[in-house]
Amino acid sequence: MAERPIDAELAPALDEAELAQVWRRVRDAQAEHRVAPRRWRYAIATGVAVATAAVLLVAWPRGHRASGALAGDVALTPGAQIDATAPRAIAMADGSRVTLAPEARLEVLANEGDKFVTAVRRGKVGFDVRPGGPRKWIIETDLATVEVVGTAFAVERSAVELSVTVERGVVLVRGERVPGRVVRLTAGQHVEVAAAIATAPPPPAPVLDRVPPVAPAIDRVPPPAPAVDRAPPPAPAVDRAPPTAPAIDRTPTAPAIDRTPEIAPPPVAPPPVAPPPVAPPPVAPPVDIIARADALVAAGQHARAADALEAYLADARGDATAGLAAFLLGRLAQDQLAQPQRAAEAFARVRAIGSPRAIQEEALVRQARALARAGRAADARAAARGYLDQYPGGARAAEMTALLAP
Amino acid sequence: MSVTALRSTPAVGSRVVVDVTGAVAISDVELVARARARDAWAEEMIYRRHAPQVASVARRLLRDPVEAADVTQETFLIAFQKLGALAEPAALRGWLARIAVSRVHRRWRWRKVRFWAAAVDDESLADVADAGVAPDRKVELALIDEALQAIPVKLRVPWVLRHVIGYSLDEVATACDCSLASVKRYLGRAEAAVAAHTQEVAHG
Repeated sequence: MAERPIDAELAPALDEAELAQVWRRVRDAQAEHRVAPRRWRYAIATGVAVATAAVLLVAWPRGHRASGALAGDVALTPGAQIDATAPRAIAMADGSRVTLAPEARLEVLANEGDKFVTAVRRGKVGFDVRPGGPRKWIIETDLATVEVVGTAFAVERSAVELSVTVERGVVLVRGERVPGRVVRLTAGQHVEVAAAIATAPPPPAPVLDRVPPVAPAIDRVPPPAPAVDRAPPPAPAVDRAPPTAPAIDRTPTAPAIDRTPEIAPPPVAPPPVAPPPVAPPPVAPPVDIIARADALVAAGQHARAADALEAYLADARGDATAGLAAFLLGRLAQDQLAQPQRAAEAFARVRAIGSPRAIQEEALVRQARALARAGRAADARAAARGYLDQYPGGARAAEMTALLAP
Repeated sequence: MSVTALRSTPAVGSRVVVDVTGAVAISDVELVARARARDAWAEEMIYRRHAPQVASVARRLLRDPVEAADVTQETFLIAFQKLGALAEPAALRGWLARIAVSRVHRRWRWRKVRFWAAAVDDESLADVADAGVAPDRKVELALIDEALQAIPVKLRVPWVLRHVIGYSLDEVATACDCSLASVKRYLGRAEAAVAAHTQEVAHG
């Protein structure tokens, strides 16, 4: 009997859209079940609630009725922003401590009896959360969410990446760009999650005021809204531009630092009577297409997003942004539009461009799958063979080996 | 602080993901613990991780895509309601299969009652073979399917779980709610029947 399950040779029992539909039905049924309990349970619950309310009204001191929020030596009401110009420590009433490095900014999003939600807007913030406390601490950033009950760890949001380092205890880091979407970090481990490719803005330079505004896309992409309630992970997709990045010149690893000289004008300023320097031809900022596709996907307009990416790719150079755009096009065609042929071509383009390197392996796997789905069995086998040659110990080796079977 | 560097696949769009080892994916055990605490995200993760296999169990046994979707939905609804009763969170996969199989049995019973009222799809393994499957393999799948339809359900279900879906023997035992020894016995009889049928047809 073959070791490989027969299911691998069969069409999926339910495709992605059907699975998503079933999940919505499960969710709806759960909500119905939870909202409309049986009548007798409802009666008991009402009785208990009335009795409890009566007891509380009589017995609970007035001053405690609205309490439950975490107190500290600064105001921690939702919406409060805490900036640090110098190292700053905040002591909480429960014994926890938050330490802000210079230039860091923290915002309180929610402060309730069972949870304390903050957002690290920029800079490095250390958290020393008292174990066993009643509150779940959630630290939001635009790139990932960190969840913890009792531990010490640091979150740093620089212009180009997010870094989470755990000193003791365990934290969960979740986000679309986190490896595997979620990682569990224990003491001594850390993870760095990069912002989108080509989204780092150019550094401020004195010449920019005479150059047409080619790259301030960051101004057009609003920073993500603070998420107080943990929403399900965002739709697969598409990279989000990082928020404004005032810390870029403080970040030693910011790649954009090297770029400016390309467009630096001659050191001598033109005379006042001379015609203004000829502006370079308008080049669509690379981040534009990604942000635009992102917005279309978020609006559910997958076909339009794919068309926009394809139009961009028609004239794009073979750089990392083009590679990412092709990859996103392939994912949309494969996962959302059921167009395997189009997906296969897009992933082939990613491979031809060869950049970004981080997605090449995944692009090859997806290309093989798309070819198989498009009925191009021989091409799918060739792609699978290519994968096994290039990534013999790759994570998808078993799947690719299965594709090779006649 | 010493920092452990680990390797994992970077997410799409990540340019620099410092290798993160030891940062293991969330286990079923942890997901179950969180789902028991009404963590909606954990429930969704459980669904995303196991729904394709549950759907396969339902569809390969019922041979009907619509009923398979219904059984998948029922399975996860029941699972989330009864998650507190799961003694071994690490055995979540087999436990979900057990719920799915019980729902499949229920559907089979209903089919007997209402067989005259509504037709159901009856797709063979060859019918749902992927486009890339070679014609001779499709013939084999058709023969296997014929053989499976001719054997009792008690033998067919373990065979499908084991050889079509790919469950381990322990998981098959959990899913069929019987002992490992019984599973081995059923599988042996089913395999003999399938082999006999395919050889009989192949050699005239």
